[in-house]
Amino acid sequence: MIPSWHDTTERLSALVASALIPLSLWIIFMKVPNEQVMGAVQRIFYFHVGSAIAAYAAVGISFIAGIKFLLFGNVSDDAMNEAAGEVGLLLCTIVLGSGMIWGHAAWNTWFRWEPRLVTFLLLWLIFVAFVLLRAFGEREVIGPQAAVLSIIGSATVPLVWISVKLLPQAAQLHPQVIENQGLRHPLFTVAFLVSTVAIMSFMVWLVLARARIGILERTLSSSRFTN
Amino acid sequence: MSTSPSPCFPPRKPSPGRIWYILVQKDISLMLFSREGATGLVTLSLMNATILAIGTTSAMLIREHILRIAPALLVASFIFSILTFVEHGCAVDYRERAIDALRVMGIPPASLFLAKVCAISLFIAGGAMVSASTLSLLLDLSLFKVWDQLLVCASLLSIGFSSLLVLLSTITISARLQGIILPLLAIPLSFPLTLSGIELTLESLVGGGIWQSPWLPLLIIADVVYLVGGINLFEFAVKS
Repeated sequence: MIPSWHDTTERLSALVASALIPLSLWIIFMKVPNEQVMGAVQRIFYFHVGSAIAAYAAVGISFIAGIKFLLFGNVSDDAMNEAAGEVGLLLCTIVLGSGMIWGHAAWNTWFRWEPRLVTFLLLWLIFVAFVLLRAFGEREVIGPQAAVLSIIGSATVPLVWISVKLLPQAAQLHPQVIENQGLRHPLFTVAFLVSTVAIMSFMVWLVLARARIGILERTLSSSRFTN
Repeated sequence: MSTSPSPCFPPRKPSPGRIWYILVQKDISLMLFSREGATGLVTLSLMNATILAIGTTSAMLIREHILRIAPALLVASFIFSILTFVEHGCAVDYRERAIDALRVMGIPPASLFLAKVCAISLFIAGGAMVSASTLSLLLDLSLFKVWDQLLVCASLLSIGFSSLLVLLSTITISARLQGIILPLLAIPLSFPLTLSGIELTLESLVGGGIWQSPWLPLLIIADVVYLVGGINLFEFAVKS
């Protein structure tokens, strides 16, 4: 029932995450110098941006798994869709939480109606609704319905992104570090790359582990039904 | 005495256009004659627009500021009025198992979706006009000086919202906590529509018109995404 690539990728991602998470923590807290303007609080950047990229990747996984489930009806794709939604919610919460801590230090407020913050709040709401629908939907039809929702939700993300880009620059307070090539010190770049790969591999590990539980749950409930 | 067998012709299959027309007619009469449908939409549109107008007037804002926030008030009134209406329009079909019956008859789900979107778009465009008239009257906005641009905005918004909300209502209709999940889904997912609706209305009121605005292509793209998505995905949303 569980595809063979699932085991291999899960083990590999667990291995990479276990190696890179301590390494990234060591680089971030022991090696990287303090940023001149923001000081120590700038170190949140490495968790914040990495989690944001991983959250977008979770959206992508949910989208692909949703399409595959609707096309082929495999239980493993449904489980993957569910897992990506739950892990995506976790990552969005980390992004919003870390962003709020940084925002309080930089802007002296926990939240501002700034386009990028609103984008992530909306993404978080989409994930919350997805998880709620999974929890409270009708069990017999929830698989295809959640897949439909993940496809529509994923299609909305680029539209929201374009909407934010169209807003006037004056409304945009969020720093655009990567677009403006703001990582001046070489260690900033190293820390950013290592932490991003660590969080990405951790995300893949979590998604695959949760999907494994989902597949086993479905197998168990179908065997109960048969007996 | 023998009776001659009556000539038996196979029933003629109606054309897809005819099927679609009958479905739209069915949806329109369903919403027009059910008590909660059209009456609820008009009442909510009036009530929301009035409450928002009272709130704005009590803030003693100057005219320029009222003109700048009017688009947001208009779109907010529009969204809060249509949520219940669309939910009701889809719930009737679900309750009466009309979708199942039509599918058993061999009607393709895409036709069912398109017919519902057409019928609901007509009604909610009407609801938008009620909200716009009320706000225009109560806040002295002269919205109808730019009626052609507002009509384009209202039509595009109605198509986008009805495509998205019909799909979402169908997904959430059988869920527990439907009253929470539907708005929770509709608000973030309709953000591109909401924002472009506000910006386009603002352009038509205080800007240089909607035709050069970059928000118009975005609204059209969002409409196409939700409409095409709905046509292809409705089949899976109603699977039972």
